[in-house]
Amino acid sequence: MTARSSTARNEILQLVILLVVDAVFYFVLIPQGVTDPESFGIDQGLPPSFAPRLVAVLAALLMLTRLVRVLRNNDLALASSVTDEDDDLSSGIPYRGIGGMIVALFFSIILVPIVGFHIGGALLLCAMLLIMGERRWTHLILFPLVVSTAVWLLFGQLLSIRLPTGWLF
Amino acid sequence: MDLIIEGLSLSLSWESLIAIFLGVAAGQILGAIPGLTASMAVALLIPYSFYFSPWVGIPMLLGMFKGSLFASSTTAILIRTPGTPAASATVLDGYPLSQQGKGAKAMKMALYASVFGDTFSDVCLIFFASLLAMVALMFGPAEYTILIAMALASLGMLSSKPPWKGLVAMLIGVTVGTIGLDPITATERLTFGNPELEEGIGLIPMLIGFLAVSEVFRQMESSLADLSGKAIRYSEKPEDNRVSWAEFKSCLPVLFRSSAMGTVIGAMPGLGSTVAAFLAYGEARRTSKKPEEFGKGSLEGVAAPEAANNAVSGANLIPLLAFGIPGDIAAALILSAFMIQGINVGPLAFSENPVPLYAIYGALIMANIANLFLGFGLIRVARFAFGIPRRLLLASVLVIASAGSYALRGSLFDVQMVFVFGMLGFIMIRYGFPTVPLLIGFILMPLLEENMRTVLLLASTYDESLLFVFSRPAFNVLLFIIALIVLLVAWRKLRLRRMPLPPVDS
Repeated sequence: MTARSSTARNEILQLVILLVVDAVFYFVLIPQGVTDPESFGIDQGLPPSFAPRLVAVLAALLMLTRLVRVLRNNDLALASSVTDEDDDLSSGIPYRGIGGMIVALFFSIILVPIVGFHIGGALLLCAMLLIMGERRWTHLILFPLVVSTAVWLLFGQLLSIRLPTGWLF
Repeated sequence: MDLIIEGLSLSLSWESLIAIFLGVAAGQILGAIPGLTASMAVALLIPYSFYFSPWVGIPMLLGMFKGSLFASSTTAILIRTPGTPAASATVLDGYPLSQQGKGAKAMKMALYASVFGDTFSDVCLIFFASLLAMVALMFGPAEYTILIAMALASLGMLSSKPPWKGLVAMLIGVTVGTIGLDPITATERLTFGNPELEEGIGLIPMLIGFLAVSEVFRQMESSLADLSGKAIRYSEKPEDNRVSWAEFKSCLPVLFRSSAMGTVIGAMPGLGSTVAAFLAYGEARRTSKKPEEFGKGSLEGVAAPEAANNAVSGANLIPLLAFGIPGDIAAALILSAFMIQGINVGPLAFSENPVPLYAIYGALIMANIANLFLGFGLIRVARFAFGIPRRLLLASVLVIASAGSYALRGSLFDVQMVFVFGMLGFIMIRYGFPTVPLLIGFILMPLLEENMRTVLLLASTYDESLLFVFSRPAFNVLLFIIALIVLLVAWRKLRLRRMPLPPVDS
């Protein structure tokens, strides 16, 4: 399989997935998530569901047009072009990135409500540094302490912004 | 003349000058912190300003407002983390410049453009306040609708190759922008019973998540050697660390155009500096002789949004000083400070007691000078601060960014959203979908929808709906200008297509 056809196949796959998501949004999420008030017709302006529906239809039209063009093999020059933000960091499985995301979500959903922002922040920093290959214990302990103290001083003391506390602290 | 001298002497007293410098310095520090907007910086300082005389407190507030606007671009350029939403367009070319080792050059260009835009709008404020305010008052929902629709259409393909991915990203942003209470009927939309979503998704979590956090996750994939190396590398060539006169001169047309756009947008209530920055960026790219350099590290791409977003700050005061109507939240906060300090603004102030107004003008100009001098200091500090190892910087960005996102609404939900958006941004970047059009869609959608639906409601009261919009002179002028731009673009494309191809060996 050539690189060109592989790129086209990837793009077709992306378009199909996005079209399915768009269909779920239009047929499931909008009817369940938006309730138009009774007798809200065009004479009183547009109903609340108009904008999401319009966006979903526009997105579907755009993606279908693109899909047809790629399938007809007319526009592969664009499909195979490298995007602006692609570079060597975008190849392979992003283990460290995925690890960072899991740790960050754990911090915001579980850690902060339990130990509060400042201690949670220090633990997040420590975990992130470990994921990024830091092994010196001085850096692993001192740096999170310095940053957490700086955040506490700046937000809590200087700007009087109380960052969230947890059940424990 | 005596009144002008009396007013200027108030703002040029040593107490006032010290207050301006302190305000600018504090603004630059706060503005560089992700999540702390210029309005928030002003709101934080207002209680302290009451302890001082009016001509210490007010100049300090004005200085802080201006300082925070410039400083937000330094983090946007160096670490793809705009300090305030207004600097998000600066990321587009500032960050690529920084990655090329030209971070100092980009920051200096941002500084010059900020001061240029600021001074331009202040001069307009001083000489044309009443005229501009009159023009701004001619803009209603119909004019806003056509202006924003045009902006959405032209900015949709920003930094996107292939263009369909940029448009899809923009439509995703538009969809996220519809979450929350409906602007007309106040019914819940796509909230699914979650009270946190009733106010809609916050702009700050969106910006920090899609720009900064996604970049942190992406950078985490660098080699361990890179992660332990310096966070920001600067070129050793002197020309990569300064803006030459020739470079500045080449950016002058962009600076004038963007400052004028920022001034007009700033004079109109409700649009704001973020919209001005993106519009100026799009316009600069459209009219540039080297549009292909945009998105890859163009100095014009830094100058345009910075000049425009800073020009909004002075222009925001136009409806405030001319009519006593604040153009945005920051202007409303400044108005409250004026009122508590006993300073009257509005049409009568010019005829009855104009001395405080001249003092404000003096303070605005002095704040620009302070911004320029202290800006060089901030650039030096930023160079030093971001010289730490990359992994330390990346990890601390996550903590500071989440604190900043919590600060605005005091909601842990916003912190969670920051990481969710960071994750989505990371996935989008990996599959070649640009994140900036998504943010543009998100910023412009609520404005477009609210204005469009207001127009339709107003038009429904007329026997002939179309008569309502076409009876407005400002709408017709805008329509004419947009038609002209479309024709010019089409003509240029046609001409390029008809031009003979250059010989291969040239």
